[in-house]
Amino acid sequence: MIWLGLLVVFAGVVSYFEVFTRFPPLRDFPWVNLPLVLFGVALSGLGVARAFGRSEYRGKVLGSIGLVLSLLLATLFVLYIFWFSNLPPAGETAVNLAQAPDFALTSSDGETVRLSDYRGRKVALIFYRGFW
Amino acid sequence: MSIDPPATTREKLGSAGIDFPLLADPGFEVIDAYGVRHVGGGMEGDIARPATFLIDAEGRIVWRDLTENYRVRPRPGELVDRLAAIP
Repeated sequence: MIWLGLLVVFAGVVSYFEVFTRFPPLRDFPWVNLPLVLFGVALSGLGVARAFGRSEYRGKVLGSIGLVLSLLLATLFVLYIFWFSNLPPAGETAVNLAQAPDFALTSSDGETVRLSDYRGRKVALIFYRGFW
Repeated sequence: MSIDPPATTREKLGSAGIDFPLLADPGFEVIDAYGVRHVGGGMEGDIARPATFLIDAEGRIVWRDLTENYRVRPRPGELVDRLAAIP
């Protein structure tokens, strides 16, 4: 049960990034994966409690390691969701900019694109982090 | 737009059915003009923070999303609706 719990935690974390981030409501808040991860930790905890409930010594050290691993992985996931992926507050420029500054940049096709090329049309300008 | 050079964007996205321009700002000129530099946000230095600006036909910024978490972005449908609502 301890190792099943660890597997559930692992599956919960991996599936968030591999599967559930494709669904915006589940990416914004891990409605599926956070409960899954917590359930995995609970399974490991229950497994350790049962191992220590037995009079013989079997499996207690290894089982405790399994629980620690589950907790560690779950903690890293929670920290990622609620802390590591946070951004600093947006600066005054970004918040207050009223007129869109013109620019001339190269597109992936090698063309020069200017914002002023789009004067007279509505524009969505999207900044993203890139593939760093 | 991002700091990725055009070649990187071409390599990663190719012609993935994208018919809008993907721009490169490796020098942070536009990123800084719009105030969206994320200091130390990348693996090796600064990066753009995810941000969306909707601009009307006169070049005015009429809506912006400056997310506080890079996992949380505006939905494409929301952007389409907001663009349509701009007179």
